[in-house]
Amino acid sequence: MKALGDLKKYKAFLLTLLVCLISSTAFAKKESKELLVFAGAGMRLPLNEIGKKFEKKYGVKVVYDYEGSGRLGNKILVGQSPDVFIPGSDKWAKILKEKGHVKDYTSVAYHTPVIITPKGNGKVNSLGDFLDSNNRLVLGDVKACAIGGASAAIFKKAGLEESKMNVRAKGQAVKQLVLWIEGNNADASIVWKADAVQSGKVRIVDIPEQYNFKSIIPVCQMVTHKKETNEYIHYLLGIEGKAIFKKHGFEVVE
Amino acid sequence: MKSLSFDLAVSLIAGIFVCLIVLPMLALFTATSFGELINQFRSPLVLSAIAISLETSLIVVLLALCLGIPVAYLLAMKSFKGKEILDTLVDLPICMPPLVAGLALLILLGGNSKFGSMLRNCGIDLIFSKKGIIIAQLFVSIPFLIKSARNAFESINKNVINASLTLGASKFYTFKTILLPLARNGIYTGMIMTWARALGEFGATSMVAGCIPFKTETMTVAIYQNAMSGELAASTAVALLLLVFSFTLLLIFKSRVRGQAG
Amino acid sequence: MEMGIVLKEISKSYDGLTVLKNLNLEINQGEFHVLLGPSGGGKTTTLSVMAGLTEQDSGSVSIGGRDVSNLSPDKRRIGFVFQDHALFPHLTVFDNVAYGLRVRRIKGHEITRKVEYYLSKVSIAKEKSKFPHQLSGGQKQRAALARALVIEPEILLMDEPMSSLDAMTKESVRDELKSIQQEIGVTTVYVTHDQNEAILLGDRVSVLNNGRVEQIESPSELFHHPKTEFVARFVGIKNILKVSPIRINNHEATVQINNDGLEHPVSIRVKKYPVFEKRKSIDLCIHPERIMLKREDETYAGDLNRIRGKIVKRTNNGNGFMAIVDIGGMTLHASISSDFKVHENVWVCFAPDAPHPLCGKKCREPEQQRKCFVTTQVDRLKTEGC
Repeated sequence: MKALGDLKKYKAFLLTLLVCLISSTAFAKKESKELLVFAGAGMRLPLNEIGKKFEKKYGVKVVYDYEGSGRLGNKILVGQSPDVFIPGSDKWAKILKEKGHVKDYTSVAYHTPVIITPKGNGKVNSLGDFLDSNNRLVLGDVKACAIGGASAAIFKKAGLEESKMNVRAKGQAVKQLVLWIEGNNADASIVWKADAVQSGKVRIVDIPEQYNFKSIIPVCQMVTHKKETNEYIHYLLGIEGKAIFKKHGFEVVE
Repeated sequence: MKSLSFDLAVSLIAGIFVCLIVLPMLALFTATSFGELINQFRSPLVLSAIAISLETSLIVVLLALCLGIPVAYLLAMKSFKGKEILDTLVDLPICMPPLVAGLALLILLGGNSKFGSMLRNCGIDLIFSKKGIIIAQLFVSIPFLIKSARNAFESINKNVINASLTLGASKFYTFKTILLPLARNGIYTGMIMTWARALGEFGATSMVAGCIPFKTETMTVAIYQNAMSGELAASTAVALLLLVFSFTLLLIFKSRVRGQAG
Repeated sequence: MEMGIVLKEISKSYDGLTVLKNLNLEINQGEFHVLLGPSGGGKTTTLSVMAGLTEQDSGSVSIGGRDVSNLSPDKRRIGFVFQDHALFPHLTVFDNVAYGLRVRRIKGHEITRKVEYYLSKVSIAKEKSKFPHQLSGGQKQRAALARALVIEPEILLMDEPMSSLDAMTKESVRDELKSIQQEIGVTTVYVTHDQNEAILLGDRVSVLNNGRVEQIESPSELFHHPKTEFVARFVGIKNILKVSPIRINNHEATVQINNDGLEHPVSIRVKKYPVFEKRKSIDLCIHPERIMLKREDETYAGDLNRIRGKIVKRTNNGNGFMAIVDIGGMTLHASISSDFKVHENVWVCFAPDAPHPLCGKKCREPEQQRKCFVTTQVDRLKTEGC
């Protein structure tokens, strides 16, 4: 019976030790040189490249969290704290600045919407074709992703009523729209040019300048951030950073 | 003394479990208000989403019964080559991330697949329709019915089945008159779990369903969209409504089952 | 006579383990046949093969002259009573018994008539609306029996139906079973490991061991003339000597006992049997009542065999006392009076005509009416009208 009592003591001791270890490692991460960047999924390729180059130059590792802008914005609202936030449009930048999470933001590049269709599908060639009920469309959901808001703005500018369109599905993220068009599940969609170029498996139709709604990609510096953040943002907005963005099909802010 | 402390320890752990479940639920309440709840309850979009969710998930339960009970019977009663494989296949949808399942279904039934085109030529369009929702929900939730029904069949005394056979009953008659009634409780449990899983399904559904309001938008999608656009109060209100509806239906079903069990 | 059941060359293995090997069995029409044997001996498998619940690897089964080897159970016209009664838990007693009739689409009023007839035959008419879990063990078995009989099967198969009942219930159910079977005349195969049941119920008894039929006889023949050591031990014969003849005279033979474990071989004189001339190794048995124990200083008749031994145990078996004597690595059972005590050194004595061979044949001389322990038991059970 005494042995059993000893075992109990040991268990309590081990448990406490375990808890300490875990918490120490959890907190330890904050101390090491690492930047946390929340960014829209569409910017993965250029930002990854920038991250690697930055690490080489400054010795600071950049950790990215890529998701839909809406999801990332919500994560910040409920308490997560990245150092930098790069959404696909300024909608969330505005919301977070208002709520006091974002200190300031500067545009680095533009997201340009384009029409995409499955390869070999010539049914849709202009915005006007969106009104043809024979054309099955998939569009971004306004609530869930930045491209949704952008498409809505384009239709408004061009005087097209969305209620008259044959919209078969609402995408929760821009990548989902690309996936659907790649799989020939609809005749046309509107996505960011960068996503269309990255896919390579869809046909791109440009939208006329007068109707188009370019979305600025803001680089938001968060209110609480590490000191290395300044260097990172500087790098992003500098010549090298912008060149990388251009390479991946983004139009940069000169 | 020893047994008392053991019971105490077990109860404490159970208490931790209760906290694990109840506290997040309570947290939802704090994120919204009663006014918002009423607001959402009156919204035609939300009501339509509820209706679509309930409609599709209930159809899924029926389909799961038709498809799943024979599989459960096979696994419980017979031994055959490849039984291990069938057993693993049943577990597969549970282990698969729902998004992956959705992707798979999209590729299988979508615009680029021969199989999908074949179905479309017969007039069956599964992508971006309620049928798509049903397929996605069925895929992820049918294993629960199969596992539960299988356990129920297996726990029946084999001699009882043999007795039926020796009395001249065919295998089908035995299945209908002896196996099904005796497995009833297990099947009901399976139905509840299937329904719950189907109702809560989001990942696979969002890939193939389309999420068009009033047509193919389910409750889970509505909750997600509200949450994503920063309308936390609205999304939690919708989530709570879903919970209330599910609980109520569950209680009604369970009380009917208890009444019949006799 | 039309054969009730015929099994020919039945073999069955499970996972490489051979349970039945070339089993042959013929059961007469209307007979109450008992399959007796130890657990794992193959009796339940044999029953299962007859029913069609287990498919034999090879061999044929016929019932009532009809080859049913490939038929499923529902087509064989059998009635089966399971060891755990296997009543349908969700149906009342009435519905349980009516099940087989409903399967055959018998009309409602005919069902009621038949079910009530058989329910009263097994004396549970009052319980017809109860569910199985509300019945006692004995009542459950009666219901199971009624359920099997109501469909008027060609054969009735019963798998140790009384094993879960207490002694008193066993007696009453057993007696009723025998009289019902005799009244209805259905060919019955009854599996058990209990010798008493075999004696009291069977018209004939087959002893099964390791998937083979060792002997098949009427109960009294089985017990008086066991053919093999296994059967002998199973029916309760305790003293089996494995001997080899050394010298054979006109009337007597000297044989050496070489049972396993015996430290020193022992020679005894026995009456000469024809088999001594034919075989080098023979099994002899001695009934405990023919063995006398004498104390070391006592005198004894000169022509008796005499072996030194020590009493290791004493039991009371209702008929008197039995002493178990160690004669050097092997034990013998002797029937004694109360004087002897454990650890006493004794002489084990028996006449040369006390041991007799296990050959299953009836002894030629009518005087050889052995008053053996088992015989008295059989007679007692029979006369007490169980």
